Amino acid sequence: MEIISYILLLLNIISFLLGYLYGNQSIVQYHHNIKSNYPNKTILKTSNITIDDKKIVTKIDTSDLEKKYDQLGDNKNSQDTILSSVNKLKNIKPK
Amino acid sequence: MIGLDVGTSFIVKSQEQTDGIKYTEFRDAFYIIKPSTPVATKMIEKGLNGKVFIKDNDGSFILLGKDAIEKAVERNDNAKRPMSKGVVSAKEKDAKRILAFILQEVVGKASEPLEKLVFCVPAQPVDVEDDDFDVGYHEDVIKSILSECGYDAKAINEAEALCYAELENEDYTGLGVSCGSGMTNICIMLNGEPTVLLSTTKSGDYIDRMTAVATGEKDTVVQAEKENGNFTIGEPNNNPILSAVSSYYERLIDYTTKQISEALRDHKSLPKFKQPLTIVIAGGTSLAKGYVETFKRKLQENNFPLPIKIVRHSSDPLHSVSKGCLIASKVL
Repeated sequence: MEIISYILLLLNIISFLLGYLYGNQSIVQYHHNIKSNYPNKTILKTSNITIDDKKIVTKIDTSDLEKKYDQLGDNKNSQDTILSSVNKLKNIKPK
Repeated sequence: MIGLDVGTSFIVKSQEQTDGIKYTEFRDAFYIIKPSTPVATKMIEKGLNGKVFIKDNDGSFILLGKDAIEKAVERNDNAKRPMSKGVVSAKEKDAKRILAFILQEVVGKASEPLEKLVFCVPAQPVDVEDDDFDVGYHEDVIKSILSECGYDAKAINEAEALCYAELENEDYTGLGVSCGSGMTNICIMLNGEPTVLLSTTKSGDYIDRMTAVATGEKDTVVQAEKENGNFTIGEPNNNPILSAVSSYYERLIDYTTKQISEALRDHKSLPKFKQPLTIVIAGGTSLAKGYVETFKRKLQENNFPLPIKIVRHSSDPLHSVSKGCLIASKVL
């Protein structure tokens, strides 16, 4: 009877140790799997992909504006010439 | 070929003629009158006879240019602007449509397919970080409007255009300051190459706004008084509006010269100039008496980091940016 009690106690201890060891391992693996289901934050931070958020110019319709005048703006004539400026700039400015 | 100064206050087109340059200028302003009854519609339309206006599909009348400002002053109200602080606002639906209409009317259809047209845009400002301030979007909007008219439109910086028009005798080396109503634009040029471009968002409109707050008048009323009144910057004036205008002018020039000096100090792109620089000033805001003298004095007081040869006014302050765009259309 005593021998049976010792055998059962030994089995109990072995079961406990096995359970403790394997149980720990599976918990670690479980946590590891949870982590791998989420995106890696480091990768997101270093990504160079950006969206083009430049404002788009939509068509500006002015056909529904009815003109009610003859002339718009004042005209002024100047004796100024631009020929020498253009020539000088063409000479010094690299194409 | 066409040069086009697209300013907050004026749009100026320039075209070469056999005997010189023809400028067409238009005040960049509008004022909307919305009639409440059919009878009022007829009365208003009759009253607007001889004025520059357009009729919208909702029945409202939109006065344009000088007539818009006159009507706003008459009604003790503010005229609207299609542009604000040098750029078209992405938020203002009306403004874009009216700017498109004005530009299409001022430049007309291209005389040949893809006729070359150079227009000016402001530089990125050093004193504001606003999502609504988008020079790229502004450039795209203007380009789109002009392309619809058949032009091959290219943009250059406003102060760069001023340098092309004014620095021929200096071999295109010097500094151009374009003082518009919405912004002040600055370009440092070395042998025809713009090396530093910057802007500030305070100019003539700032003076109007601050004077309006100080005197309780409307901005448009202040603007009209400022443009027609007799005052000298920094000198006392018996007219309370002009007295305030004079004071705010001095503060504006102090602010601008401080910003320029600060931006250029230790600027990485600033060339090592061998000779002292010529500084040329243009734009409607620079027309006030004493502007150039005050600017020169404030540059010295605020330790401008480059040696100065001369600070001078443009030979044609209202047209030189447009002329520079016309020159650029032949070179670029």
